[in-house]
Amino acid sequence: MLLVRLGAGIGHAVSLPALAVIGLFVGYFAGMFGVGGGFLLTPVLIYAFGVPPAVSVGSALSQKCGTSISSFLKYRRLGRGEPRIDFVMLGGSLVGVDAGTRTLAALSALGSMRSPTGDNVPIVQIVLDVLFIVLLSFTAYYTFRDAWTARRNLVPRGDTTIPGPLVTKVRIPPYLNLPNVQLEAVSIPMLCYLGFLLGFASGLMGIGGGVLFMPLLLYGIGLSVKNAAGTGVLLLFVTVAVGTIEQSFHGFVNLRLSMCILIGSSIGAQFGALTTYYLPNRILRMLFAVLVAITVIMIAWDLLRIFH
Amino acid sequence: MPWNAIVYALICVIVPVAWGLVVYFISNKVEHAALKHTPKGQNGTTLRDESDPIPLDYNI
Repeated sequence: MLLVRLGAGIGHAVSLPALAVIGLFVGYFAGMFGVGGGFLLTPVLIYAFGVPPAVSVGSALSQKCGTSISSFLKYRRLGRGEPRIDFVMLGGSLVGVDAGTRTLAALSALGSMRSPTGDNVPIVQIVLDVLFIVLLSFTAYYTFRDAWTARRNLVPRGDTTIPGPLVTKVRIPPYLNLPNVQLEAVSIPMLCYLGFLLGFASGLMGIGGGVLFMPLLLYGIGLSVKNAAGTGVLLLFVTVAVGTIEQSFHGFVNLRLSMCILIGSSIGAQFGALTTYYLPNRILRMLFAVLVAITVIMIAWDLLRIFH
Repeated sequence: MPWNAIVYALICVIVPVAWGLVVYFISNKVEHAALKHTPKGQNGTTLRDESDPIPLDYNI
């Protein structure tokens, strides 16, 4: 099975063809649903390949450098979104990715705990499991609910900007007007805090925009789907690049691992993107919710297996 | 911070970015080539030009 020792944090040999196949699948779903795939990749690397959690997160971030630069160029060409949101959020995001990486390093240094079955389980893995379960459960619920209610609407929600609760309820001055995306008086501190949250999640869990940022832009701020998709691509690229450098300083990035997956995923993403031409938006959202729910069940199952 | 750690960190960003750029330019070329061979629509444009393309991230 072409087992290769990848070194740099991974003590055992890993099958390269299996990695490439996983990359293909992750890339296919990423291309199909328009997400980076970090929420799938990090758990799969941990459970299917036995990669240490910190190395999974760091390598997933390095892989995202490749996928996010092409997203950035694509949306820059289309000219959608509001780049000022990216610039306002960038400061918070860079502080967040630093905090996330430091938290990951601190959790990794805590070592392991002995499970009832007698196995040594890294504490960082348990913390990541719980965080993934909470975050992905919310994402699956909101995406499924949105797709389900869209059945009755002739004009699907997301075609126009409707100011969300983060714009109408959070009133912390100073404010910013964003006429390009039909939003007025958006709280600048709120955007900075969102940036921090996004950066923290990237640094700690290796996830990017798909499961956290896009739902916040769509349901929290209320941007239309097209504007939300074009917003944040620059922010994501800078965040994952800075995150990768910092994780590398902690020894969490395995370049050979991230490149194997990146090559597989960039091929799979092309096929996934083709699928979007044949399936309606609502069905894609529902499938995305189901995929996220399956990921939650698998992580929860593994967590239960550890403690029983 | 040792120099080799700094160089490795930069490589961990530059190599995936370079691959991402290669994929971006190849997919653009393939897309343009596919557009040339797509049947013409009613307004003289290609069928894909007439429909709003669905970029990847539009779907959630």
